[in-house]
Amino acid sequence: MTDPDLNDQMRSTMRSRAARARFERVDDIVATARADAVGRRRGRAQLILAGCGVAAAVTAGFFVYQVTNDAPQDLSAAPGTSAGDPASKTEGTNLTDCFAGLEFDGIGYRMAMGRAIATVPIATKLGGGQLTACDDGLGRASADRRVAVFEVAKVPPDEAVLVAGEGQQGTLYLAAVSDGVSDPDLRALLKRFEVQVPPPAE
Amino acid sequence: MQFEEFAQRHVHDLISLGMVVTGRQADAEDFAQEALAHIYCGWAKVDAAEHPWAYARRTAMNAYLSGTRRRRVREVLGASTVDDCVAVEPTLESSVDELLDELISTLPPRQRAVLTLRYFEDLDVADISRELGIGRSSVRSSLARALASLREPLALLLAKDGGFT
Repeated sequence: MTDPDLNDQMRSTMRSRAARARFERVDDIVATARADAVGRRRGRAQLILAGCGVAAAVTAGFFVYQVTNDAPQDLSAAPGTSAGDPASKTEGTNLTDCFAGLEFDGIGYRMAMGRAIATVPIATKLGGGQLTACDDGLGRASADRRVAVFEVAKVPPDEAVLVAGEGQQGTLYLAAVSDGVSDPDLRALLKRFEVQVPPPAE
Repeated sequence: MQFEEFAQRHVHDLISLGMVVTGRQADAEDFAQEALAHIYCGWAKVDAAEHPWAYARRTAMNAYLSGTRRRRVREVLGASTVDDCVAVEPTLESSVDELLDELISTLPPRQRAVLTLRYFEDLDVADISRELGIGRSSVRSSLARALASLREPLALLLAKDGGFT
């Protein structure tokens, strides 16, 4: 095969590779990238590295979430902070209780409900998870979407993970809780892993 | 331009580019996602660039090469579709294409990046050098090594099929 032939063949093969691309998840990809970047920017700002690009310049392969175990980087675990989230429990009604579910690494997680009770250190970004749709019967149905999933420092990911949200808030998801996460569940878990938790509200 | 607008306009390009570089849909999505995260972080620079897509492509390639892609748990759902299984009549041309496709995926990341920019994006050595932030001699040697790795198996295939003279 001559060089011109090989060049032509290379172009053809490259086009074939590109043609195999599928685009059905572009919205998820953009949303997850944005959430990921917001999380990185936040962490880096707290390391006083002034900007997203600096960390990469400091040392190749530097991931801000990998140093948060020892650094004062916090992300508020604000369970159920999304007021419009359809995961609200419908106590006292005939409607089916509805908890937004998270599927990640083969584990089903439930959102921890309630008010913000603790600020938890975040650790490594674990990857992308899938929030599953939920309909509370009131027409407030959430759509399936991909989210960035983070480890909570000191807490094994198979027990709880954090889903990054906007601003300084994330949402804690706990594994192996079939009926949703109660306040005592959440407090017990956080205390077990030495996360400071204020006393319950009166 | 806002990031969202740029992302919506170019996410397809990034996935295609990722597909060329990595050869796998899941990796291509990782590639695009990681690139967009970096682009978001440096949005002011991208937006101010004379050629935002070129800047974004450079960001994407460098993010890929610097190994900043983090492990992503593969989602089984939706990962495989009927489109993955397309019967192709075996011809010499398709065999060459398939072999090249496989061989490209075995090359080191930098060689794949160089090949992609050379043959998919049609950049010359100087442009690739700027794009990847490496010397022109490195680009040339990466290109030469990559093509050398491809030539021998291709020659064997063509000789076997009587297409090589």
